[in-house]
Amino acid sequence: MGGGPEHPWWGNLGGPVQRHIVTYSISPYKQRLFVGALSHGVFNTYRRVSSQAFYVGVPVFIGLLIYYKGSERHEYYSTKAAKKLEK
Amino acid sequence: MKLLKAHPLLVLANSYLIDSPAPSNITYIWNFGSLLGSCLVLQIITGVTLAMHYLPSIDAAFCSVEHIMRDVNNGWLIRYLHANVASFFFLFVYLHIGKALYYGSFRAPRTLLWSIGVVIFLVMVITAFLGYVLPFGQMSLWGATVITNLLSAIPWLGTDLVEFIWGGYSVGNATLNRFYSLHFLLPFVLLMLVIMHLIALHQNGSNNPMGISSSLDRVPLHPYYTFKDLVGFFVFFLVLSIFVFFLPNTLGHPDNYIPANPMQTPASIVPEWYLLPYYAILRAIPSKLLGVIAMIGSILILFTMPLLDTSRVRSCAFRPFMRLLFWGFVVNFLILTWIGSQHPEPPFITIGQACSTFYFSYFLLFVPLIGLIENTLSDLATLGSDHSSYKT
Repeated sequence: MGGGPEHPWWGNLGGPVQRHIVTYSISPYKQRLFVGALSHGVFNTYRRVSSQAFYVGVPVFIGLLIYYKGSERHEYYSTKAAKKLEK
Repeated sequence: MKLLKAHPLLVLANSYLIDSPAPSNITYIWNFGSLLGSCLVLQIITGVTLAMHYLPSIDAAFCSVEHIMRDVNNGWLIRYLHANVASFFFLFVYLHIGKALYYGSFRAPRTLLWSIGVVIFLVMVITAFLGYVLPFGQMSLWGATVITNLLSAIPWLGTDLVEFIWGGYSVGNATLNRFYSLHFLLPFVLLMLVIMHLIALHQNGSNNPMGISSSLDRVPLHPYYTFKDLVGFFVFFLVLSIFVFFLPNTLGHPDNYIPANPMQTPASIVPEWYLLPYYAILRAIPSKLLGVIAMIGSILILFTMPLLDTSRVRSCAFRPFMRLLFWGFVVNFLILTWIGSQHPEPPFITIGQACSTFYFSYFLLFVPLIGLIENTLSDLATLGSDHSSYKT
């Protein structure tokens, strides 16, 4: 069961010893199921995604540039103009 | 005491799948491990079923596959599942490896876990290659011919080795039979390696997006991650169904529906999409031997990641330079996939060579260098403060 430095087991997690554990649940009528659905589900997702856009966007832009320019160049090499230059 | 915690076998299930204390913050990116497990199980079930009707002989192999497709009850379903799950297997393994590279899961104390993972990937590549030969279509025969011939580049014993593998002087009946035998065997070797992978994982548990281990903030694997994994299974089965039922041959090559013909070479010999990056690296180097070494090296180099990463920070969540470079590596890998699918003509040759150089530079140059730069910058930023790592 675990044993490595990063996988402690229950009862030995390193915190204060737990005693008198009480299990309880909140009434379904008191649960606010959609709390934060907009602020976290939409706006925070947008914030998190946009904060990564630079790191993903720049390499993807360079990659697409290589793809399109490479394909364009490859097509050019099979034109009459390119064949003429070869001679 | 509950049976789950007392029974010598059930206690293992409990320890691995139920009670295991998992970090509370692992995301859907961590689903690929269980998805890969489901792929392996699916492949073994469909594979064993296909084996009940498949005939491993050069005269009968192609026809027996068509017999499975047309005459065997639901044979088309079993075969399309087997062919398409293979693609998803590789898609998931790339995402799984990508996750480990991004979040530093390969670093101590999980180096054994990482190393077993690389071996698993290597065995997967070999198994997939062997399986692709079995329908004995044009691409099966010529793919097998090209790839086995690579070994002839080995000085002195190359030709003997290739003939030993063929069991003759070309890809023939003996080759197909031994490839079938090994394709049946290796998934079970894979299964054993997966169990070793899980044992190594269990030693230190999962990494998490922060790359910082918390002893306190843990949740039991069940129900938290069993149900999170189920979401992944449902999405996987949905997308897989779209491929199996509507686009079953999209990921394959049409030439493999032409029976193998040793007298006619196809216009272009390409491997399945998931092996194209390595094919691009192979073709980037004009020397055959060096090309083969580079191709094998491109997988084996993953072993060195724990040694090459000099950073003090594990996860890319806190490493902006490395994060940018990681995405550069991902895009580079995709470009290599594209180059692998093209004819070796200009400018694809140059692009392939540049991308292969970047592939190896990422490991040998950028990973150690950026780690050192980031360490130095963090030292400079915290110099003299309470957080300085040089504080005495």
